[in-house]
Amino acid sequence: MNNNVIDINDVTCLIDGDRILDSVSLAVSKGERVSILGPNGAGKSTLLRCVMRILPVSSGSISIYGTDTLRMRRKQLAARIGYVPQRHAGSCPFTVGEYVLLGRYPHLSPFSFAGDRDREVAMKALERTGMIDFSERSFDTLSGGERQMVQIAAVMAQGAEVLLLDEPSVYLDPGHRSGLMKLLAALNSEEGMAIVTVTHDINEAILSGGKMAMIREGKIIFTGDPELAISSGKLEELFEKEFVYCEHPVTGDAMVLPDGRWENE
Amino acid sequence: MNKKVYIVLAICVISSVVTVCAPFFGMESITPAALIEGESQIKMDIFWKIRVPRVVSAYIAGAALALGGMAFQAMFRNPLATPFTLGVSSGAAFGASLYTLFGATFVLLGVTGQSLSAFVWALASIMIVYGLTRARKGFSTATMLIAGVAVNFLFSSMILFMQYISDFDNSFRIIRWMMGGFALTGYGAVKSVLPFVLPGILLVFLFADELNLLVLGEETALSRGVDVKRTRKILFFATSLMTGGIVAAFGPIGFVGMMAPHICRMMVGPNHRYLTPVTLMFGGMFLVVCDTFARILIAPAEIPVGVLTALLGGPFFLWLLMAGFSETGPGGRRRRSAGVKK
Repeated sequence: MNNNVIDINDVTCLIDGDRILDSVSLAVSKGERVSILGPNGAGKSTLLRCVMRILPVSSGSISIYGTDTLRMRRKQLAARIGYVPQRHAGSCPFTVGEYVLLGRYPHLSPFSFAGDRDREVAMKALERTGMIDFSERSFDTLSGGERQMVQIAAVMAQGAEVLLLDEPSVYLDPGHRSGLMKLLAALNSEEGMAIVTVTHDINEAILSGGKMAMIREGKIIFTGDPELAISSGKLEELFEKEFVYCEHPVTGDAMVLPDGRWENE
Repeated sequence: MNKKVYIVLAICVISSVVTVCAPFFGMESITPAALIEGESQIKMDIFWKIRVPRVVSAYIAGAALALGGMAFQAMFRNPLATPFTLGVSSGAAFGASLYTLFGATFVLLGVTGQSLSAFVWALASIMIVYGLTRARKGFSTATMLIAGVAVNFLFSSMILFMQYISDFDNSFRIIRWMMGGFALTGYGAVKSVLPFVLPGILLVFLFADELNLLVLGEETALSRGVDVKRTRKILFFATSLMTGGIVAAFGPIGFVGMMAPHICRMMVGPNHRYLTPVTLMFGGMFLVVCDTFARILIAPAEIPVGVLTALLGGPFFLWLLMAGFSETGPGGRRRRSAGVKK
């Protein structure tokens, strides 16, 4: 029996002949927190999509608790793993409550309506994300931050024990951002959910705790502790630039600061 | 939720009442009393042998075309994307005409060769349109609508060509049939469409949840556990079955598949668990009403019902194009303004 929730094994993904992922291996254990960092176009989002079988892998395998995802039905996969894309594409005609209830799909059959139990799970998820008061609102009227929360509620209703989030905080203001990060931390520590986040915010990755995975040109160049990532100079290698560090006055973690005033040299 | 159940029930009642009343209207109106007394054999025959099968045909056709439209609108997230606009109907019409001219007449287990040919070509046309759109990088509904227009033209011109080379009788038959209508139907036509329409309807009902998730987009549907490829294949099959069967029997009747589901979405919302039965019943009723007007508007002459639906559908299409789909999105329900309820 394999204890890893997700095992990415030597995965290569070709899109139109371009090698977007090149022999990537990464393991996520139960209840782990992983931040994936990397320059634009490095293959971070592609990796999440491959895990979710939205994109096919060209070679290698991805397994959930030791079972190859290709041998799972999509519903089984969805009941285990929840994916929150970077942006919700297009408009959505449903109310927030309906939207979250649709997350119960893996647990429904065509012959049964969503029952009281499903409704209860959906409401719980809305409560957990603090969006219960929005359940009658139309999804399209929500702000970016609210949408993010509702999408997380939907994948919680899905019953997922792993969350894959693609740049979840990128369009959020500082208030919503810290609300989101707190929620993710709580889901991780209280519900034991494994959380994998793609992010460009290095400090966010450091403060999230857990491990850091770095992807560059489709290859994993580092996995491990954020402290080690900084002390070994991997961060500079990843982004091909120098960073300025300082100590966080509250937590004591090493933080990345902006370079200075961006003046013309 | 309860409110929606009431809407479904209300539509059920209204649609039944309208359908039951429809056969009494026509060039010669027949009162229920006359029917019960049975004084005039001619009236009895008109009622039972002409009007009733006609109304039943219109109901079945309206229901099937509306469901096909609903499924396509949800799958392609656009109210303009229907079997009619994407060339499925003209594919079916081509298949049926081809068979009329060249095929051998046969009936197998109640399935006519003509309907079968219509189904095959309906399926072929959606495969062509969808395949062309997929072949281009990045799926776009606009590209698909253009491909649909192109396929429409292609099949229409081939039908014209067939008309041109066929004799006067066949040519006239094709023209009249292309206008779409129920003027010449009997119980035979009803029997010939049922093997196509019933499985189609059943399949669409079974995929209500999948349609709900496809409205959210392919990527979200996949990540929620929908087998998108399989769902699409089955729904293409179901819609081609329904469209093929209906078009072969009654001709291509346009725009029902676009108007009925859109109106239903405004009434009951975007959830296909409710939307599917409502669309079925409303679509049936809609075409029954159109056909009744087609019978009485310029009586004793008749307007082919396809002409009538096109007269309604053209402006509706333009309205959707101008106002509808960019704002309302695939669900069709107008956005509530932000901050109505906090």
